[in-house]
Amino acid sequence: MKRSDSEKITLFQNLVLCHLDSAYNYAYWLCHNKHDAEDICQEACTKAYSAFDRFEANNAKAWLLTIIRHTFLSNIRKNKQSAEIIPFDLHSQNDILPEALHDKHSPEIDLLRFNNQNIVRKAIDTLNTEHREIIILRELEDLSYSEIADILDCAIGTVMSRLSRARTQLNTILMHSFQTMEKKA
Amino acid sequence: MTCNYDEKLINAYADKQLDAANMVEVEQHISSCKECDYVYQNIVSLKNAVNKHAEIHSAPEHVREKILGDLHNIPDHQITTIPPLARSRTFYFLAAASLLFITVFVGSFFHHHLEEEKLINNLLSSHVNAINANRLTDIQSTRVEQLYSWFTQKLDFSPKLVDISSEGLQLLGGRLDTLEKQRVAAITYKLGHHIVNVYTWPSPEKQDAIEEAHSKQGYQVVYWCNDYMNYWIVSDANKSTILDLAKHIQNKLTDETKKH
Repeated sequence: MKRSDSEKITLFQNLVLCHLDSAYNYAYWLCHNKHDAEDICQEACTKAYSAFDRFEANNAKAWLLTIIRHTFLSNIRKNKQSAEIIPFDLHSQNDILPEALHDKHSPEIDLLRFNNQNIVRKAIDTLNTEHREIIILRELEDLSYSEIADILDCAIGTVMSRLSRARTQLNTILMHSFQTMEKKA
Repeated sequence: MTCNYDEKLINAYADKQLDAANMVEVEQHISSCKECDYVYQNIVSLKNAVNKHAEIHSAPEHVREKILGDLHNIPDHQITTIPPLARSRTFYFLAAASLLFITVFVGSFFHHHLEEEKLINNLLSSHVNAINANRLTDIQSTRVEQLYSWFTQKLDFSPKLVDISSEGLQLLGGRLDTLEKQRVAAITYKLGHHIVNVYTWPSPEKQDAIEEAHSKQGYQVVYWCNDYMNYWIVSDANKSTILDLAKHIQNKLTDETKKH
């Protein structure tokens, strides 16, 4: 192996591969299963390495997550027959009435619905992909609005409105799940 | 809900993603509005719930090892296999020339077109957000000189500003914004009941004439370049008014340049 190759790999490891956990986490939440997440990560890292010579930006994490997203979307396009994942469908929860963030509940209800691990996890899983990914990028990956805008290739204003809608949607699902659980009990 | 304060701003406040002036403004509103304070508390609870309960999936070790192993086998450059057919030198020359032509001209056309489309979308977002968030100006002033000295302190370039206020066109003030990954000056006017934003920042081009207005989502967007500065106007006023305004500003700028 040429010396420059070994240097390139070391640099790639230090700059880009150190964000592999974030990349995997994002991929997992996008596609909901570990096998697809692993495939997406491998494909995205190969693409990132091939394009690494042209990488000029200073935010390697946002760059890698952008490639993860593109890989996920292009795989979806390739496997359109897979009806399981319908990405970025804004209207997948039309049957649940919106529970606006300002609809007031008793502190006990708020405490119970926000502190039930199963309900919270299931609620995030139920979000459509567009809303789920923005919640994950913001809360779990702790990215700024500007970094999220770069990854989603949209304006910061769009990030603001999408995040606001995502939280309203998450609140709706949490309340709906909580009420269903209460009825069953 | 009786208060119609923008929930996007309360979200951005909870995320600490607003600039200092807006952070203070939202904080003051929340402290005086019970409804918005409840919305804020709800957002904070949602954020905590996601942080506490949503699982963070770490990459399995075998994935990391597989990726590292694969890196050693990825060639540095894409190798194009040439079919082993006997071709004359002229053929290769023509093929290379055509490929270069297609890549450079067609590629740059589409690249330029896509970049411009993206910029127009960002300009529209900036214009609409400034109106929706009630943040039209960071500095209110009807005097061009005052705006000029304010912008010069805040930006790493000096915007060229001309006084174009007239009876129907009222200068409201200036605002800083970020477009194309750089800080830009936004000068805001009121034209009748329409808001007009003029954006400007340095350009590598010396001159670029005014083209037809781009009409998008009910807004008119007009671009030109004058003495190494980009100018973009965004407004929902009608097309001919905005084109006339653009020509008027351009003429004034040209006059100013000649004077110096």
